[in-house]
Amino acid sequence: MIRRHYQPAGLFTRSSSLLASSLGMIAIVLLYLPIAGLALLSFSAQPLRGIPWPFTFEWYGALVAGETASKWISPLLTSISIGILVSIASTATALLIGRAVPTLRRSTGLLVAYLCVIVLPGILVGVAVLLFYRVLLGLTTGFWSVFLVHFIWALPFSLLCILIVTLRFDRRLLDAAEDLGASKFRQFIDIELPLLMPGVMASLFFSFLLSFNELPRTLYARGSVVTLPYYVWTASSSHSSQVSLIYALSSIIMVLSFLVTLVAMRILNKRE
Amino acid sequence: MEGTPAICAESARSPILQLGGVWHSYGAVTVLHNISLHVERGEFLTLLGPSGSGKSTLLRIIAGLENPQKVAMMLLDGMDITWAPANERNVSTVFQHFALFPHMSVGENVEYSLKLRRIPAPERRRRAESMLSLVRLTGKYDRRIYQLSGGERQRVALARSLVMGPDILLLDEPLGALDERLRLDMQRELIELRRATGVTFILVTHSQEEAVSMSDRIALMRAGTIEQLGSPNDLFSRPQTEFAARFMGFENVMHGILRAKRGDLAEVDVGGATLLGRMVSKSAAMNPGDRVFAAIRAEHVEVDCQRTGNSVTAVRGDPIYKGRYYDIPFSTQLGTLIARFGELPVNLACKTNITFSPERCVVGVLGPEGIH
Ligand SMILES: Nc1ncnc2c1ncn2[C@@H]1O[C@H](COP(=O)(O)OP(=O)(O)OP(=O)(O)O)[C@@H](O)[C@H]1O
Ligand SMILES: [Mg+2]
Repeated sequence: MIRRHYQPAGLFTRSSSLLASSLGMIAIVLLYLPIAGLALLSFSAQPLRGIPWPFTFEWYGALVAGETASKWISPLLTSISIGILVSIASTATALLIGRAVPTLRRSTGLLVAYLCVIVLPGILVGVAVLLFYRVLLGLTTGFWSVFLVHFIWALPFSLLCILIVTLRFDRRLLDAAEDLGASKFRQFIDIELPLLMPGVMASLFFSFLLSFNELPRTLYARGSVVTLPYYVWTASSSHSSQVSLIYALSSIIMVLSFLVTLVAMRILNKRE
Repeated sequence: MEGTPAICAESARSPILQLGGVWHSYGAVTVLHNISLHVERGEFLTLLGPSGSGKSTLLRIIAGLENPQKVAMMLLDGMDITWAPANERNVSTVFQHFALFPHMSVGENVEYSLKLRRIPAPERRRRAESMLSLVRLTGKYDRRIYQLSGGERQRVALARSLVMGPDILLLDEPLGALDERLRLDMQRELIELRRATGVTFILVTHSQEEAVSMSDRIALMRAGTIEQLGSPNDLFSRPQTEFAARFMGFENVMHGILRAKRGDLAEVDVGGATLLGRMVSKSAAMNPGDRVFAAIRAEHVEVDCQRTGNSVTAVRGDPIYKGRYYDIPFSTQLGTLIARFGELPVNLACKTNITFSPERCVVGVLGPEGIH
């Protein structure tokens, strides 16, 4: 990767660059202040009073202790497995669609249709799916209906990730590969896939996270399935003793997500 | 191909590529009209023609990257390849835009066709290195594509296409993207490369200079047909049609009526004046009274030399400086004639006589499109 140092130019004069970077700093603070507060409170003996002291590992200990652990580990596993399935399914589908789009004559309307789903309110989609599938088609809600709403939710984002690379892809390279003796399959494996890989990785990563964090659609589609966001939501809105545990659990999930992001960024950046 | 023993000897002499009756169209537009072409083994053939004449399309059809709409015959090394897909034809293409794989190193690019043919890695490497040294890129095996200059990319593309030992190497305007100097160097290198490898080359270009200096034969293309096929000298000094004459760089082209034939020479009436020229169309095909063209190169038009051959009175126009020479337009009874001078002639009178030899002036019949 070639890094350049850019001189300020055009709109970006020295003072406006200063403004931009201070706004950037404010945004970072706004983003991370509540999260840092939460992490801090997870070590507090009385988190509900909002005071970080006295300091304790009590909640972390309770989390892994037998009785409580069984409550959140199964939602975590459910969320991870749905996340992985959604990630693979939406990336594969997006790859199929995204490879076809550049060869279509009129693709704008189609793209708008795919991407519009992003702006629909999540609750609405959840209710619609519930009504349509359960009331109209008589299907039972459960693991696969959650998978379905998550898939619908993640697909447009996957498609965006994939389109960025497929629209830029030079199809003449496939002619060259074929000319050198490559079958359609080898053309895809040797030439197309490696060049589309940044988009594929981004799609896998984002669709997993979208599914992993999804709540509003899950509320209606879940049947009796408990996902991690649903568990955290119910636990934190009840007046049970578990509320304190949620601080610790959220902190752990946060750190893990952060690590996953870091690894994903590494992989994405490595390929030019 | 009747007797069995004759087949071997026959195939060694038979053309490497035989095309017959090739038609192609994109939608409603027909871009190739009934093309027939035989290419000899080890030949350097150039497809020459203006933009949009169908050169690239013909090349893509030979490579198998495009399916012709209709075809009577398509033999590569005596085998029918009409329905063979591109990856099963032993021909390879150097594209105008190079089409190097950006995610592979120079070496990986060159080796790709060998990898597809399951050749073991050490052997691949050896052949790639030797091909790279043939195109003068020794030691660039591990380079990334974006680290190369345009000329180097060109040579990687050449090495990548040659390493698989193709029956025919197709080159689609390979020198178009290079600067003048590099283009001349690469022209020479291509000729050397052809000699070193013995591979049949088919080159596409729209530069008549490139075609004349590199090829064994030239096929001049025009709007999806082959206008004239012959040696560089044939095309350069005996263009059969007005289009060929103009495309091969005859600066002065006149229209007239054939008055009489005298052996090889024709007497042509141009705007009331008579000139003598050499007939390039078959003598039998030309009859007195026919509409004909007469063409003469600017360097063969001279001022006032003994008044032999064709001679007309002329009024001088303003010289145009062209770097290595000057072009001077003269108004004559034959129309405006351009004459070329190495140096600006001194004391050139405003009104003078210009002459050109009948041997240098070509006369041929006008096609239907030249008549109106
Ligand atoms: N993929 C395509 N779809 C539709 N028409 C095409 C396509 N490719 C070429 N054509 C048309 O076919 C004709 C011949 O094109 P071709 O590329 O063979 O010309 P060319 O002789 O190679 O020209 P140039 O010197 O500009 O490369 C042109 O009129 C072009 O517009
Ligand atoms: Mg072309």
